[in-house]
Amino acid sequence: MMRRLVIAAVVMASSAAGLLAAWAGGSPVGSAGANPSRGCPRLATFARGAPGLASGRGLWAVAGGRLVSVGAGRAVTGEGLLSVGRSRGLATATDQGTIKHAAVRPGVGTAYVIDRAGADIVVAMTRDGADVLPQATEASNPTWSARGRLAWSTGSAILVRDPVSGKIDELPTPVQGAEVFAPVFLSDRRIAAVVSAPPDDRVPDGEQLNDLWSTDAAGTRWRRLTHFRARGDHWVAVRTPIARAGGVDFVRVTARGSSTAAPTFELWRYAHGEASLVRRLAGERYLAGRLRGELVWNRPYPSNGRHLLQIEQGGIMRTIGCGAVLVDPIDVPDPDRRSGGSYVPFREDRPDLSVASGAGGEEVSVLVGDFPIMAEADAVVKEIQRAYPGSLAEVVENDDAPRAIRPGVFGALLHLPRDADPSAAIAAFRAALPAYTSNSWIVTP
Amino acid sequence: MARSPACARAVSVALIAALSITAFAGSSALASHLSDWTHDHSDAGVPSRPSGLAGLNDVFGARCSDKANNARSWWPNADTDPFGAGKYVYYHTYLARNIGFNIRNHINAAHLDGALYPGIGGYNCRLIEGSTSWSVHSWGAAVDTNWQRNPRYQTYWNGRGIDGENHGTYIPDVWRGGFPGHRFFWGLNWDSAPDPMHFQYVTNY
Repeated sequence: MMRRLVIAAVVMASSAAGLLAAWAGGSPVGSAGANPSRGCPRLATFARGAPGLASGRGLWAVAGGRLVSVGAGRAVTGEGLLSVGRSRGLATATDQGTIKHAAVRPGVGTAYVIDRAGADIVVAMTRDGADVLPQATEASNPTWSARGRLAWSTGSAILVRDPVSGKIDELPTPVQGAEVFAPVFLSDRRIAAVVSAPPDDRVPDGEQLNDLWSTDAAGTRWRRLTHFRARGDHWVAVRTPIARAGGVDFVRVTARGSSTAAPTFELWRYAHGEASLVRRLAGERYLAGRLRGELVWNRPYPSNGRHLLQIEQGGIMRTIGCGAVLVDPIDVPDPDRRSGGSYVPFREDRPDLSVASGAGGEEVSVLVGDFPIMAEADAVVKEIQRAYPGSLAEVVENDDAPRAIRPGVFGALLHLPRDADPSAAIAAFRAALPAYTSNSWIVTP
Repeated sequence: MARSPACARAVSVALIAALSITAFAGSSALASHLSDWTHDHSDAGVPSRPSGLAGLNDVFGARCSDKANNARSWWPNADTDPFGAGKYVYYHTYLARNIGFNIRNHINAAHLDGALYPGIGGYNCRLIEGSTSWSVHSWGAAVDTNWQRNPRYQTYWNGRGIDGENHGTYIPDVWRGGFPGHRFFWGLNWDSAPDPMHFQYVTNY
């Protein structure tokens, strides 16, 4: 009995110490090099919300489908949130949705999105109560002005809600067919947002080029603030803009779609009519807001399903908690991406896919290519044969290997055993013949 | 047991001869337009399909990595310039047999390359539009096909191929397949943002 009491006391003391260390005054509890799960304590859930939400104090993030507070050690569910004060509008639970994109404005309130399969809900919490704003489509990135105007994105437009009348104005995207998202208030009457160039034949979905634009509150005078360029399969994305001192801080992400080189992350600032690179970032991270004047970052750890909240001090990232602020949560599936949905029936004469595996053709091989002349491929075949004595390697073209190589060029094909592991085989091949690392593939002849 | 150089040479010659015969038999089968081709529905041909971001990372590894585009196949009628030209489609080696051997061969063996239509693409390191989440294409675990006639948000599949015929849902049926089919999840089944061109080897992401 005594032993149990001692253990319980130790556990309680440890938990309390951990919470205090983690949250009191936002003290750092870890660093980038530490175990990323540190600094993510389990928080007690408030059934009826938390006072800080209405006043917009502190930094709120989304973790495990709950809003969690950096600074107060609080967590609250969607149901609890809607019980705060007087709930105006449609009373609803999260309805199998999940919370995302928390926006806090000190002295004004907190807003967030209930992300559901299909149409979402925007929730605005102020001292006057909770306003529940059902949307007709996807919603994202709510943001407050200093005087309580609330803006958010529906993809094709920015919606702006007047704090007194509750009237909602729609500011359509400035470029036809383009997406507009991540709005921020530059002033009470001026809004900046990210505009994504519309899809085309080469880039059917996703995006190739983002720029920051701004408009007046009526949405009639859009102006392009940045002039980034993207060519070929090189793309430029703008993410997580936050307003500061009349300007905008944002993260610019660039990469080449066909490349396996790591994408580049940079901190940029738009101010005084000019966008400039502040510095290159060490890996993937996004802006989460500011705490006591310092930039707060969201850093994803997909392997353990968390977003860390970090502050950079003296060149060292210090973890102050966990949760997604402006970024999409990665610890719960996006309701729009859950499996299920509409079932699309097969056509009546559907392909017969029930035939069991038999002694069909060769399944996988390693191919080095493409070479404009046969002699080059033949030289590689000889190298392969030296590296793999006794193996079967040969020069192929499209007539020989129609699914492996295009017409008009030649390749060197190394046949693999039928039960070969493709991942292991290509790794071993490149280790044996590193000169062909960039132009060797697993193929089906 | 020690072997003489002559003996070792004889074994090597026999091995190469045996491999050559196998290769000759294989190329004969291909030359006959895959008349004896059958699916590989073994675990290697249709491996387990992960769920969620954690599963995606567990099975496919890091996004935008070498492994994500280490396998490829040649797809006719895939590109837009020149119209109807072929194109390489790149994907993760985990899916090498399922895409390269099963699916690509299935369409070819049925003489239905004409059901394809530009554009077609696999590996693509990129973010989801407006999001901080990465596209499944970044892991080489998704392929878009016939996108010019099946853009995102379209709520149906346009089965008209480059041959001008309407092939119904033939192409999607090959990608997804009933048990024990090829098990790709079809983006048309997302209610809020249907994506008929999109086939991915993960669910709940």
